[in-house]
Amino acid sequence: MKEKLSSEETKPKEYVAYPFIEGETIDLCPTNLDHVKLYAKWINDSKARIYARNNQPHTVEDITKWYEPSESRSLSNYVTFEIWHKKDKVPIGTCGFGRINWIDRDANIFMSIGVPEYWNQNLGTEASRLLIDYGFKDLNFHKIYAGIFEPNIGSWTVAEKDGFILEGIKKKVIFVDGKYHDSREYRMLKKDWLKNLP
Amino acid sequence: MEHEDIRTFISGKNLDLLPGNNLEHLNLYAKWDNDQETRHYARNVFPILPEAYKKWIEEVKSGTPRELNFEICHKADKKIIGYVGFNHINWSDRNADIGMVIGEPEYRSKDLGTEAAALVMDYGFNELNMFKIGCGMYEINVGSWKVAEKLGMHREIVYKETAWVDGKYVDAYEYCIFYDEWKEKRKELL
Repeated sequence: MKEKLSSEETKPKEYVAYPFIEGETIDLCPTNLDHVKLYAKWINDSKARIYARNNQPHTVEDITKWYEPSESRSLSNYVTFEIWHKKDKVPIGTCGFGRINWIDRDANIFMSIGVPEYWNQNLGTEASRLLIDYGFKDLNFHKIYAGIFEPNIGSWTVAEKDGFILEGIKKKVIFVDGKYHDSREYRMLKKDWLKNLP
Repeated sequence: MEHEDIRTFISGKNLDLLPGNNLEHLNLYAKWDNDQETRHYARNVFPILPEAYKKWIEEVKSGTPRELNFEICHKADKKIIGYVGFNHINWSDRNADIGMVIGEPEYRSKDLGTEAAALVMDYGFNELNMFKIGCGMYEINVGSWKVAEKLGMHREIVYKETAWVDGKYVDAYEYCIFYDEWKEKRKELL
């Protein structure tokens, strides 16, 4: 695993992580323009992109534009983090909130572990817990939601474990690998999150 | 605002659909979208000036559009009364959401919204090869979800507490219909 990640493209040299939110196994750090090639690799990855429902190729230049600081005076409608593996000292994916509605105080939570070697290690669960805390405690959200397509069993299992409630199913709304699939729509209201706190 | 027959793209019983995003009608769009009653249901919480539409219309890039707008023209009165169209067209999944505003209050509650939406839905399925068409609205917008039900759409999802309206959270509804269902329903409506 180490060998695979130590190629010049994937292993940032002498990189110091600046954790914004600290977890046990992972930290959530600001996105880093030096890692754009890595982000491009993840987003185009033939296995990962299916679960992220991404059917268009994205160039490094496209992705650079997304992460470049904006000069706008308005508040952004998304927040993105890089997921940093503390022990291995490598970035392993991205996560954050999209479609933030600052008036209705809700947002779509997203997450992608880009390096398949780190799948099935509960890192997604840890990242989503850190994000949910941040969303309710720092950003003052009222509701966090996610649409997860049916074959992505790993993701919606994590969502259910985290206490997300299945709000409904959008029938045959995504075409992947020759077939239409359903999307499972999940929600977590702040009041439900508070009830489930240990 | 004179009705120019030459621009009619789709013709119905009482209504015609004309090409939308007309640079000569920006004041009309701004009037509707800022109107307090309309924006209450549509949740336009920020004011908008006509120039903003101009910028947005002129920004349209080449390629297949991701959204489509028609003006709704009342044939007998030769008057433009609102707009209807598709938001978020997803060409590979072959689905889209319908958006509609009857901006002129005296034309509301006359089933004109049902006719306009039926025309645009038929266009979506028969000409644009869509597989599924949906629409979303807030629970308070009873007129809008009654129209969806008249069109044969089903309430697929209730999104709990998604919008802050008049000091409290309200639910949002998501309605949908598939092409196979529309083939039957259209016989009643068109």
